[in-house]
Amino acid sequence: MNQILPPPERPMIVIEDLHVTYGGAEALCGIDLEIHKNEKAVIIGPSGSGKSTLLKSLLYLVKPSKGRIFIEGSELTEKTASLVRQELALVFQSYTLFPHMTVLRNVAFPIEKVKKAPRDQAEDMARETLDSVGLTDKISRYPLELSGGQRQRAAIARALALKPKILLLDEPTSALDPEFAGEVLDILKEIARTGMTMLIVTHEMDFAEDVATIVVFMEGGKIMEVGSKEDMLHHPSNQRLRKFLERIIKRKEIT
Amino acid sequence: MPEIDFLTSIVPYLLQGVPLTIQISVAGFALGFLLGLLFGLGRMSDDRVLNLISSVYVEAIRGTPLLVQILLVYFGLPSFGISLDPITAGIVAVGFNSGAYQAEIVRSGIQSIPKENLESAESLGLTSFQIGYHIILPLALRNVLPSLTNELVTLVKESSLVSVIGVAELTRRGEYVMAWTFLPLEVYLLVAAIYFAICFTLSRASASMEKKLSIPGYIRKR
Repeated sequence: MNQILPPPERPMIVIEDLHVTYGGAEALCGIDLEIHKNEKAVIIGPSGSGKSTLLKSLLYLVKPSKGRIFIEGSELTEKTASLVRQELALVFQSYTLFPHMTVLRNVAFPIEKVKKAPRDQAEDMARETLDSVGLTDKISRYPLELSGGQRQRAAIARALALKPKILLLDEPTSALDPEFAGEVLDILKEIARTGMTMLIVTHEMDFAEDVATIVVFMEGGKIMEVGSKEDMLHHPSNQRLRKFLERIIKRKEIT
Repeated sequence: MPEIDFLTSIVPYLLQGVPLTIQISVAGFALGFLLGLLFGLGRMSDDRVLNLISSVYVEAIRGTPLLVQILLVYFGLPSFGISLDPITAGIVAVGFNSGAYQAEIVRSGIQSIPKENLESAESLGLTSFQIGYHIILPLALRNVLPSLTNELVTLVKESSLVSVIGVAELTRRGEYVMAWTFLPLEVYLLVAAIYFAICFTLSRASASMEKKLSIPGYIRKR
């Protein structure tokens, strides 16, 4: 199954035997994964399989009970978390933006606080990033005045404005009406073309088909299989993966 | 019995009790806010001891009458060598009482903020202080503003219980006037009208503040 050429440089993310326990139950039980620069890893799997937890653990939002994570060679610990977080950005399904700040402030505020940039400079950067996701005319609106798609685009802009090396997306379109999902996916495809390293949890198979360089299939807190898009989506050898894909495709046909 | 002029003698006399009523309720509210913040966070804490202490405090206060709490503070504390003047005792009792209710308000205010909001704030690299001050505080305060006003209005009314330890606030003064005039209906209606005026002003002020602070498009979760 390993038809991907081994990239020469050190992996951007190395996950070694990662275990995460949530209130007694194991959400992740022994994850090993390497992500290289420029890779777009699409993570698929049934709900409750630990996909979101995996993304969150990369930001130390959940603490591992066992195992280690390295981001660009430095180990992720309580102490290094605030530094490592600057290398990654995460966009959630929903409720990502701060409702009491305008769209512009939502993007500019973290630049001011995290990058210690002066306010006018931060707002210039924010404007520029918001332009790039097509929200130029919405910058003085509040998040809840926007459509779901516009909100997600603003959330993506906020993540990008901090110039992360790795972009994590946790089902970025699953809370959206289908009519708005397209505009968000288009922007993500554009970002993918810029060479950003991305980890994407999604059920949008067309999108996965479009951007993925590798596909990770998770179930029950474990990685069941990792492989190229070709192997995983077109010729799945794993029985469970095949079942999962069939279910997803069937669901899509119904809706 | 000499003719008593209501407007020139009784009304001013009653109104002199208003500052004390306001002092007790506002000072009690402020003390309660600090205690509420402390114990509200305590109730949300993962630390078992903190959590237990906070829960015991909240349940003990909510499970006993304010009147009894006032009597305990004023007449009971001297047994421990703590003698408070009636006004201070009133403020302490009202404050500790309110703290238990405000602890629950603080808790609900913080819990009403979507978890993803806080996780994104954390993932952006903001510090705990920045998240607390710029995200949690403004959102939680907006969420609980109506409950806090409600609590303050309740305190204005409940501060009347402090009259039992001899504080000459509005209700106590009403009782004095009653004793001189034997006009219960007139006197107590007047007392009630003054309480109403205070409380109504407070709710209107809060409603306009709520409107001013409201976030466009934001619907508060109930």
